[in-house]
Parts: sequence; structure tokens; C-alpha cells
Amino acid sequence: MAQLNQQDSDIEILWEDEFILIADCTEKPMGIAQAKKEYIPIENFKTAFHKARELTEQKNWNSFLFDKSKLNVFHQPSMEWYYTEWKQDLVKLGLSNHYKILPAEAWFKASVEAGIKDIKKKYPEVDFSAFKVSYIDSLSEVL
Amino acid sequence: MQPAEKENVAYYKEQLSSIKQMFSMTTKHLQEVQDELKEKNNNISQSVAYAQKIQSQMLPSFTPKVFQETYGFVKQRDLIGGDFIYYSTSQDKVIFGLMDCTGHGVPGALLSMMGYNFINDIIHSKHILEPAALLKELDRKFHHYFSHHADEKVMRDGMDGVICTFDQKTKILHYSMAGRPLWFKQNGVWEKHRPDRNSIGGAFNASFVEHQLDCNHPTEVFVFSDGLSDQFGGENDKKFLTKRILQHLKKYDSLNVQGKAEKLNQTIEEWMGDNNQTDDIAYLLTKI
Repeated sequence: MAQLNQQDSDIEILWEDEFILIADCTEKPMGIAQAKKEYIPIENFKTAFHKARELTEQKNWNSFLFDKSKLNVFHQPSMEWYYTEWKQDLVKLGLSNHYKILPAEAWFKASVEAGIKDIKKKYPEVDFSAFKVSYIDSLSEVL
Repeated sequence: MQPAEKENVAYYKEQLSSIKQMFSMTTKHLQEVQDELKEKNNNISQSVAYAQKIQSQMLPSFTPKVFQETYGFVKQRDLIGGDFIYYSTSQDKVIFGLMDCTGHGVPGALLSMMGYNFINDIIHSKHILEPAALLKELDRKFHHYFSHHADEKVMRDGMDGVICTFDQKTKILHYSMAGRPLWFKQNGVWEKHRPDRNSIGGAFNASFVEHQLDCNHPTEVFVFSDGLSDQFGGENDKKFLTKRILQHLKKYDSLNVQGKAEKLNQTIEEWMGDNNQTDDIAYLLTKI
């Protein structure tokens, strides 16, 4: 997905830093996070997603799109936190529908698969069925 | 080092450490996936090997010996498949034929078991021994079966083949063809009889023409699946084609049925060379 900017008619950028931006989709109650660099350190990742949590409460988002297409590396401890804490927390706010855009490289997809498998094994107490994850290629697929 | 540079170094160090972790986690995951696939492949191979034993029971033993000589050959592309030879007797008649089901592998094998049992039922329960009527009833049964499972993909499935009924009293061979030809040799000359285009399970309410051949003279009959003529190979990687089959039969005319068939098997193996088998292969050569 192309880098989002304020000129895009169907989004409104609400927050951003060097690594990530958070936007509101004007077409439906959906938040969007877009990676701006190839790697996001955990502190920046947490800051951005804490912000996304605040915005979810304000905007009543019921779905969330995370565009990772710019990434070429992910940080597994960040992913653990994202799956086991952030997503679970967001379910309580009524957000359980997640869309993901991954980089096109097959090895990245295999790594994501490996990462999720690892998390599920490490956290058997977490209810992963509480939210739904769909992989898409572009924002227009969900609008 | 300036603070900004230090920050950059730390960023790339963390990135590198994450790449290493991703790499090791993904390698482990892919190893596990490979192990799972190996196990699944092993299970499927064992299952198919057992299915092959079951399907091989379908190849008839050609007893009692009504004909002077008979040789049936079936070589499925994937251990199991959709080609089969049928042979049975009822009253004074011998009913035999060769069928080539749509596809190969497991679906072909399932269709062949179904077709084999339908033919048995038609002959031994409904007592239909005339080839054209038998094919028509077989076609009806296929359509009836698949009409209960109205899936467009499945509806295309069926069989091509030839059914013959030899009357031992009159020595007349009655035969009917569904998309496959029948060749016969009388007075030293091979004749190729082109088939009806209708297939079993093809056009709804298809009809088939019955032909007769007086076998009071020495007669050889040859039926085969398209896997034989469609086999790729030779110097220029081309199809074997019916012309080479005919050339072969003529070349080894002096040999008995067994001899001709063994030579044909050898020829097709040589033709295939290092190529994979294109399709299931079956043929039946009979001297009446």
C-alpha cells in the first residue's frame, strides 16, 4: 500500500512519528496503522499502539488495519506484546476485527507464520479466537 | 561518535538482532513444516500403496479360457488410476472391454471402481448383455449418480471405452464403442474401427451403435486407452501415436499374443525413456 498522506480522501491522519502513523478511515469505523520504516523498535511500537488504543476509544473503531508492507524485519517481543496484550485489551473495547497488509516477500510471510505459531505455543492461556485476522493486499479491499 | 550516530548504531544493532531471531524462528518453523509434510507424504504413500493392492484385484485372470489367447495390460500413471479391463461371462457369452475413466490417480481410481461395479450390476443383475444397451445403461447410471451430487466439476467425469460381447455359440462378436476405437485383424489385415464420439457420463441420454464381427475365421481384437498413443517420448519427445501401435502390431505379426504384447511393453518403455508416464495406460489383445 502506498504511503498514506493527508490528501487521501478516505483517511485522516491523527498521529505519527518517525516510524509509524495512525489514521482514521473516514469510510467506516476503522483505524489504520502504517509502518513508515523497515523496522520499528519496541518502545516506538508500544507508543504508537498505546495511542491507537486511545483513539479506538475516541473514535469507536471496530476494526483495525495494520499495513506492514514497508517492514522488512519485525521484532518478535513486540509481536508478543501486540498479540497477547494489545489485541486482548482492544477486544474489551469492541475491536476484534484486524486486517493486515504484509510485505510481498514470501520469506516475510513465512516468518510471520512462524512468529504467530511461537506466540500461540508460548501463551496457551490467551484466547486467540477472540479476534479475527484477515490478510489483504490493499485498503480498497476493506472499504 | 555523535548522539545521533549512536542512536543510529543502536537502531541497526537492534534490527540485526531481530533479523537473527526471525531467521532462527523461521528456520525452525520451516523444519517443522517439512517434517509434517514428510509424515503426511508417508501416510499418503502407504495409503495409495494399499489402494493399489485393492485395485490390482480388478485385473481379470481371463479364466475360463474361451479365447485362444488374451493379454491384458494396465499400468496406471500414479500407482492407482482410471484405466481398467473388464472380463466376465454370462450364459454362453463372454463380456469384455476396456474403460478409461476421466483423470488419473485417486479420482480416476474411484471412478474406475464405480464403473466396474456398475458394469457388473448391469450384466449380472439386470442381465443386459448387448454392448450398446449396456453402455447406454452405464451412461444412465453415471448421470443418475452424479445428478444427486449436482456439482458442475463432477458432472464432467465419466469414461471412454469399448464393450464387447462374444457369443460362444454363433462366434459373433458384438461390440460398441464410447469414445475409444476397436481394431481387429482378419485374413492378415488390421482394420481400425473409429468410435462413436459419445462418452459415458457425457451428453445426456447418449446412444451407442452396436457392431458385429463374424469370428468364425481367426480374429484378433485390440482395444487400448489413449494413454498408450499419447505417451510422450522418442528422440523428439513426441506422442507415440496410433500409427506406431499399428506398425508394431504388423511388425510382430508372426508372434503369438503374449509375444506381441511383451514386445509392445518393451517398445513403449523404450519410447518413454526418462520421460514421466503421461497418462494411465491399458490395452487388451485377444485372439479369438
